[in-house]
Amino acid sequence: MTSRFAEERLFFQTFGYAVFPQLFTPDEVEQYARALMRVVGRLQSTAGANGSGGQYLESFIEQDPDVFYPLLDDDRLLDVVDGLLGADSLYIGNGGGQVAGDSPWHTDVDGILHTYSTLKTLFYCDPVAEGEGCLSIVATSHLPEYSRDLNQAVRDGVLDIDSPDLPGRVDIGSTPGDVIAVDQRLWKSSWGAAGAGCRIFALDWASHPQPGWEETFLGGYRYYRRDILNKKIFSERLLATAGPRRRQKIAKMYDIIADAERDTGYRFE
Amino acid sequence: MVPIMAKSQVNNTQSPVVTEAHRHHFRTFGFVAFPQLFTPAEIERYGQALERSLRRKRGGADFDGKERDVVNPMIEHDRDVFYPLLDDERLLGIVDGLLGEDSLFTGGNDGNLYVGSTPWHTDVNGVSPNVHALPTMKTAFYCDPVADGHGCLSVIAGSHHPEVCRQLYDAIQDGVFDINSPDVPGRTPLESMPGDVMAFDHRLWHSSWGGKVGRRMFTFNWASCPKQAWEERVVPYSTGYESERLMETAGPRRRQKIARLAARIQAKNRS
Repeated sequence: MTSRFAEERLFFQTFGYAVFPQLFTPDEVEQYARALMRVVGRLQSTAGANGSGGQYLESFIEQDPDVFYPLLDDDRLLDVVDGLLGADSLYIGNGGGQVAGDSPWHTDVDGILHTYSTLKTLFYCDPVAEGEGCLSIVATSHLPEYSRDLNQAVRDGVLDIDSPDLPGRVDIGSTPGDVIAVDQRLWKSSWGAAGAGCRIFALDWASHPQPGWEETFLGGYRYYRRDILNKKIFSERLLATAGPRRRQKIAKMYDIIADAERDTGYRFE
Repeated sequence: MVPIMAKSQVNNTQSPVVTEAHRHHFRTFGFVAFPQLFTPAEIERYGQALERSLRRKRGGADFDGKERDVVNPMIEHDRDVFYPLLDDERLLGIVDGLLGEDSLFTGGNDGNLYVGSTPWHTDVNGVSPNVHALPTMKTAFYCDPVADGHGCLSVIAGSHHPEVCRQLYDAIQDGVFDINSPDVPGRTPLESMPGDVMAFDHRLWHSSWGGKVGRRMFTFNWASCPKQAWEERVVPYSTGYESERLMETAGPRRRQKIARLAARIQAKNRS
């Protein structure tokens, strides 16, 4: 475990998120954003709507490997991931696009309450602020007891996921170059991204899984992307072009996917 | 004052004041506010009685404002004024609605003149991470207007869940949660006007920042009815009552609420 981000790791474990200001330069992020928008434009007809008027793609990285693959070798980003989840953590997916309007309260692991920590690193490519498209979260809601009660309140109709007015809401403003890390179990939302919205992309990561349930969870995570979203993430090229750090982050996932395909008879990737 | 949208305002509890939305809010976030449950005039009457009691305690001297002045139990210092609060259907309605009709008054009750800020803390176990699973709670009301940065209660929503509560204790040890700073993610200020009543779980992390010297506040403490031995052990009974009059003057509602407390007081007096 790297100790470089020890304080951020403790903060992340307690509150479910951490912010890394200006980890990249605004110019770098702008280059990624333009490449992302080229991909969105090219695939617009097949892109899945995100429910808020924008265009959000699962697995955009494969659409422009020359630009995006190096992100998975970038020491700045990988140091953050290793600092929060451990040096043996894994890369598990990505998404990006343009998000407009409101995104209601949700978690990235809908209704699944567990102690296994998976992480999303978010890059906002445009400045965002409270009520203007920034990420809003409920601090500490990644912990299962709290998340369970929030789920129950939604099911019972007393918590309106379409309203920003939720106790303990934390608005995380961001300027291009900042990286925001959120536990995927954390309750989050976004409000008021005006006009065409803001450009955003995310890379997803997981703690090294224990054999059994955690490996099954990651296999299922991939199955969802492959079978439901019809998106391939772990390509032959991704592995063939990997440097040592990227290889460490992805090799285990090829094994998990192979095991899951053999056990179930389904094609995951 | 119920920030989450009460789509369901149906009151299917026996409480005259607590709706299903209140119960959900309390269970999920650890607190709920009841605006203008009392009239400002009623609260001012209690506030003046508090000031008289504290002045008597100080031997007639003025409040110097150097540090918090408090009496506990408050209600013993002006029984005619304060005992009826334990018969008041509005206050008992909150308690019954949130903790159940068999809930209990623990005896914990204070009246305060506050000074300055109060750092983050919970009302269970002081600085111990041994957080229990029995819901116990405090009802609090300020006799003066309080606002964000001006003496109002701040809470960390959801921090009453034992898992979250313990994590925050760990965060203090780890140096990522400074109990002397208001800047904690999820801090929710509960602004209040005289007549408002706030109920919050004893396990909830709470604090207060800024505010005028001598702001007046009352608290009463309650517990879900213990069903098991360990639950009985964690109820924070306060037995500092000097007479039998609390029991002797009780109507049926107060009698139910103080039954176990009275037994403890009598046992203490016998010994």
